[in-house]
Amino acid sequence: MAANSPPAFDEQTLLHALQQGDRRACDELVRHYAPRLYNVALRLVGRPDEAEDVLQETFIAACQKIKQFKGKARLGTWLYRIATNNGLMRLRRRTPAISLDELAESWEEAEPHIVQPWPEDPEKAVDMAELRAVMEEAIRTLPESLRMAFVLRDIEGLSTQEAAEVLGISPGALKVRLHRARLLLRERLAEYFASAQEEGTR
Amino acid sequence: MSVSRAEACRRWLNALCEYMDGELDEELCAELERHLAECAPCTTMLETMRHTVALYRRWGRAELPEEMLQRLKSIVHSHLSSDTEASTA
Ligand SMILES: [Zn+2]
Repeated sequence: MAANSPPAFDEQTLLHALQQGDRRACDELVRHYAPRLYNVALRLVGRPDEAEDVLQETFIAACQKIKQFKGKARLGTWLYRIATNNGLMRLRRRTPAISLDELAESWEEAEPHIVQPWPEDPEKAVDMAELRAVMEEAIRTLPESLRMAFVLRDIEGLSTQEAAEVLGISPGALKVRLHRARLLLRERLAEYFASAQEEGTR
Repeated sequence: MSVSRAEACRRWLNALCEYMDGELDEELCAELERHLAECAPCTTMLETMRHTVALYRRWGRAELPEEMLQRLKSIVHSHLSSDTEASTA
């Protein structure tokens, strides 16, 4: 057993300390959750400076409202929800309406076209920097509702129920969005692997 | 029972997502596995979807810059101190 590993994170203890107004507990809250929230906020608003603003407001709101937190959801889920709502508000301010065309188009594109096996270990078969650039571009261009379902569920590892709670939608709706997101991302990566393979055999 | 293979595959496509999350109900699960055993395209779809998720899980997280973490801590701190001062004043 590693003797030097930091003490295990205990949500209940932290929550109790926060509700007692313990300031070090707020530090702990930031230290533990900021990296996760940053990923979600950045994926949502797209700009690091704005993601930082989202995080600031989220933690300040959380530390101020912690007494209202009844512990029905997990602390993390609650924080994701505050951050997501904050980020969405900013997005709506920037782009007042979502284009319906954009949504319709993305539904159609979810149909898989390239169905051929990938290399057994994709990370060894291609240039990782190139693959990561393709991955970034693919996730960046997903419609926001699909992107958030994917980020919360597949990157952050929330359960279907938790991710649905964060986004304020039903678990069924979450599953539909997640499925579309996975199909669209898969298609983009499939294109990349197919072209990389072609280049390799040339 | 004369559903074309493409039609069957199209129907299964929607179940693949729940299947890979272990959320597909048992009966459908068994039926899908029978289909997968004899359908290469659906098996490829399942595998490549799994690869997709695994790749993003590994590489898809944007890293929080250390300076930003420090700034966050100090801003949250100063906010809290001014709150306490205001409430005790
Ligand atoms: Zn099939």
